[in-house]
Order: sequence, then structure tokens, then C-alpha cells
Amino acid sequence: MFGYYIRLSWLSLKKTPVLSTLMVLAVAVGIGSCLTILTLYGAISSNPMAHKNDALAAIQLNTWGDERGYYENNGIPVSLTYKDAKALYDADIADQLVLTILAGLAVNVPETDHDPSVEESRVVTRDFFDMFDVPLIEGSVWSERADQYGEPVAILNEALAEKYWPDSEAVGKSLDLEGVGHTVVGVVDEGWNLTPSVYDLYGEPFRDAPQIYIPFFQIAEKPLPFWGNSSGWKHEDIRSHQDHLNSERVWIYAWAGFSSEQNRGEFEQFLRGYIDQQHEQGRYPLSQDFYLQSPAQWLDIFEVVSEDDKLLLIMSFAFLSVCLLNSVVLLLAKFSRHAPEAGVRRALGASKTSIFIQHLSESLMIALLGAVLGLVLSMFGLAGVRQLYNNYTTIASVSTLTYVAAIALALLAGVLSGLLPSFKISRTAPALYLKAD
Amino acid sequence: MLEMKSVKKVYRSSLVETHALRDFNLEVQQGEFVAVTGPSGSGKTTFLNIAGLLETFEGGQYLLDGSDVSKLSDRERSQIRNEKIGFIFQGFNLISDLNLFDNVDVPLRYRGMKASERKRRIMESLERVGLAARAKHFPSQLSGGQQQRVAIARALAGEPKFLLADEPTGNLDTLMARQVMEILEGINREGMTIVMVTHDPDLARRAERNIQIVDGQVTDFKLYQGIAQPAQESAPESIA
Repeated sequence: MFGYYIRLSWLSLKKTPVLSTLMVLAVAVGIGSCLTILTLYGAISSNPMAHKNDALAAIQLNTWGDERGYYENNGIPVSLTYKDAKALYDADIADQLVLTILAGLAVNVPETDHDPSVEESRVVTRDFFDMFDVPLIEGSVWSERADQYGEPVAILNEALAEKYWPDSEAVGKSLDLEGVGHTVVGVVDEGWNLTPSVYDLYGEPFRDAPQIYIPFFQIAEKPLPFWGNSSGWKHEDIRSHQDHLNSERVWIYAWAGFSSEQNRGEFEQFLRGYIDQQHEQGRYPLSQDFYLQSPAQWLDIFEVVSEDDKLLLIMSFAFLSVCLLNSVVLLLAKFSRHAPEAGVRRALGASKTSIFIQHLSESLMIALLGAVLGLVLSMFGLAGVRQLYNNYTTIASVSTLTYVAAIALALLAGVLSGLLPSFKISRTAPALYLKAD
Repeated sequence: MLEMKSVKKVYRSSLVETHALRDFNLEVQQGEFVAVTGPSGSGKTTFLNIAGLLETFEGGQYLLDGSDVSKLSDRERSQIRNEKIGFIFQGFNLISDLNLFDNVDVPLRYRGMKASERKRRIMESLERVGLAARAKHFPSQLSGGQQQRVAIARALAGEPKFLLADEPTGNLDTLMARQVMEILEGINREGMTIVMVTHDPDLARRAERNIQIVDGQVTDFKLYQGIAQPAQESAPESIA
């Protein structure tokens, strides 16, 4: 029977092409704008580490000595001092421990024709790759020894590896990073990019994937071009790299990974003991608190989804509602012309429900056509966003969410816009069309 | 087949109450061809609407094919309309977007019938009214008489218990009207019960029985194709 209703709907749409086009356009514009915003919002608000939300934690240690508190986020430093980061690493309590900073490394591969360039790079401990599910398509993660001693090894993004060695494997090749020869030990799949980049949300959470990864403890020996944020709460006379490493400045993001609650408990116990010890030595002057924030909490703390984003989403649904209201009015006008036919159908045996479903099907068909056109419009919309904002390149693209939302919005639009007109037409008194007097 | 006992129908507006049917009694036997006549506003349409389960009524009882249909839900009334009643309208009321095949298909669609069975019935019905060859034509491509024949085919396709015809020749010229009446008479001879509302005394005379409605009540009846009976003065009248 539903096939019959679809056929009748199609015939009805063909009968009034101008009105039908207007209705499809009204729905398409509403759904198109809604899909564009919804796709962006979905990407912004998603937690790419949701599957490990209970197993990972960003570490916050309250070393801040200024009574006004840390000036951003939740009032507690979001990054660690080098001293604390090193202590956590050396303690080796957590099953996984990631220390990371962002750096801009000068790259040179003398045997190729490419000019030296500066690439966005991540200075990380080796657990980073496993913790954040970074897929390697060549080689493997550097060894524990290389991790501990900051050996000159590197893992490259597939795009960069292809650039320098298009015809052969990059693993085993050498490249200069900041003038130091490094051996490539692995290549990361070009398709991988954590959006938002939960591991480091400072500044721009929708950045491109890093091009180079090198062992974190290379910074123990020499400074690297640091592209992150470094904050301090007191004046310190920092004259050398070692001074910086020994300072109270916070600049290193730290994550712990736990395979069990017991491990988490052990880590928390260690932190309490460590902070108490540091407090006795004059550090942690105001508070001995620490926090282990899940990825979802971390996204909230950095307000990845701003109030403006939420408002924009509400506005887009409001706009869709206006478009649907237009569609309701047009459908009412269109269906009022169907009354004689509905009367005849009622006389011939159609129940009110049959007439209702028949006309709701037509409304759904209009909404579905509108959704298809809306999807095309949203593709243009997202392309426009990509043109306007470079940093939205990775998220302003059609995703599974876009398609699912298109179907959901089509159903919603079809039902909402068709409900009243279909109800009214289903109440047609058939007797009006059997006049004898 | 059709029995109404003391049926009452009142239309109410904010200013006035109109008694369309008052203590209305009527019985139509299986296989009868009954013509219903009466002046405009007499209640013919109301009778037809109630007989066809298109309107409800306030008082009395209506038995259709032996079942009390006085207090049924919309779905139940729709099902009975679909299965037991065939309608033929003065204005044909074919659906202009559908070809003849699909027009005849309309009542069958609401019965959940298999496609093969629907097709057989549609083609048989169109054959019966001489329009099978034009199954793919649209109503606008037909004359008025042909359109009414399609309407008859549509009414017959569902193999109803009886036909309700509302001025079936009212929009036709004499020749076409005669053709349509001949078809109806042929159907009746095959055993179909027909109740026809008409203004035309000549048409009414061709029915077996003529019932007159005045002021919402049956006031008179005549038997034309049997032995003529004198008109009865008293009203309301129950006709057996």
C-alpha cells in the first residue's frame, strides 16, 4: 500500500510543478543550512576518544602559586612543568604515560631536491601512538630506550614521507631535524587525524595532523622551536634551557592511560605522595590538588564547543522551522485542492487513516527531495566554510553524521510540515461529493 | 439488504435545527431496483449519505446486509463502504490524474487485494461496460457517458452487495442516459440491488419500485414493474 501512496504522491507533485518546486526549495534551504551547521557542530562536539573515555586521563597538577589561580580553563594549570612531567615518566606507575608538546621543526633532506621547510611536529613519548590509536603503515614506534634517552629517531606523516621518498619506503632513511640527523623508524597513515586534537587542545583544536613525531626527551638536551603555550606564575630568572627545564613554568601536556581501576588507584596514590613531597620542598604552595580529567571533561574544560556554536545550532533549527512553516502553508493550499478527490476516495472505502497516510507520504516525499537538495546545498556550504576558515578544513566536510542527519531531518520535516495539512484533508466529509439535491 | 427503522438526522447550526430525516423507515430487498425521488431539500441526499455510510445519524437503526451498522467506527464504516457498497455519482467523480484502469483500481486498493486479482477484476469490469480497450485512457479523453460507464465499472469491480446511484444520468444527454440506464438494468437483472436517487420521473418509472421522500419522510411508493399499487397517503411508511 505504501508503494501506492508513493505513486499517488509523485503524480500529485507532477500535477503542480511550480508549487511542488517551491515546497522542495523551502525544505531544501532549511535542511541545507541545518545540515551545514549540524555537520560542523557534530565534528566540533564529538569526542574522538570516547571509546577510551574511562581509560585515559589528562593530568592537572596545581603547582600554581598565584592566589588568583590559573587564568584560563578551570583555574588549574592544564599543562605541567618539566620537573613534574619527568617525575611522572620516571616513576613509571601508569600503564601508559604521554608527555607532549608542539614544535615547529626545520626539516632538510639533503639528497632530495626539496628545499628545507618547517613542519608542524609533535614531541612525544612513545605511548602517544598506542594511546591515541595512531596507525603506522610502515615501521614501528621507537624503542623504550630511544624514548628514555631522546635518541634521534622520527616518525613521519605519510604525506611527508611520500614527499621525500615517493618511490621507496621511508623507514631507515635519514633526515635532518633542526640540523640533527634523524632516522625514520615509522610512517603514520595520512588519513589519521584526531578531531578535535584531544591530546593538545590549546589554541586550535582542529589543526591538521602533525607531520613529524620525535621522542619527547630530546628536549632534555637542547631546546626545540616550541609552538605551544608556556605559562608561569612568578618571576624566574631563566637564562638557559636548563633553567627553563627546572623552572615552575607549565608547558607540557601529560596523559595517563590505565588498563585497570587498580592501576588508576596506584597512580593517584603516587601523585598524592609525590605532591606532598614536593610541597615539603616548597613547591605546590597553595594547593596539593591534582585532577585526572577524562577526554570528555578535557573537551569541556577547553570549551571546544562554545556558547556561540550552540547558539548557531539553535538558530539553524529556528531557520529550518521557518522554512517548514512555509512548507506547511503551501501544503495546506495544495491539499485543499485535493479535497474532492479525498472525498471520492473516502466514499470508495478509504478510511481517514488511509487519506492521512497518503498525504503524509506526499509531504515526506517533498521533504526527502528537499533533503537531497539540502545535502547538495550543505556541500556547497561546507566548501564555503573551508574557503573562509583554513583551520576548519578537517571538519567542514560531509560526514556520516551529515547523511544520517539528512535522513532524520527529512523525516522530521516531512512529518512536521505534513501533519496538519494531512490531518485536515483526512477529515474531508465525503458526503459533500455525493450531491443529489 | 437495506433496512432503516425510525432513522433521524438533524443538522444543527448556531441559529437553526434542520430535520433532514424524521422517523425514516425503509426496507429494500435483495435484488430490487429502487428509485428514490422527491423535491429538492426533501432529504434524498441525506438518505443516500446515510445509506452509503457517509454520514452518521442520531436515532433509529440501520441494518445493512443483516448487520446493524448504526454505531460503527470510521474504519468499520469505511470497510463496509469498500466491500458492500458501490457508488455511482452524478458528476462521475473519476480521478483525473489516473487512467481508467487506475480509477477502477481505487476501491480495490483499499481492500488489500493481490495485484493479479485486482487486474482481473478491473479488466472484467471495464469489459462489462465496453471500455476495456481504453483502459490506459484518461477520463478527460472520454465523453460523459463513457465516464459514467467507467464509474459503473469502478462500482462493480469491488463486487458490492448493492449500488447507490445518485442521479446517474443527470449530467448526460438522452442517448447516453439511456445507455447508462440499460447497463444498470442489466446489472440489476443479474441480481444486483440498486438504489437510485433521481429527479427524472421517466427514469424512476424504469425502476421496480419508486419511493418518494418529502420533508425527510417516505411519503409514497409505487411498484412499476410489478402490479401497480395505489399511492399511500399516510406517512411515515414502512415498505416491505
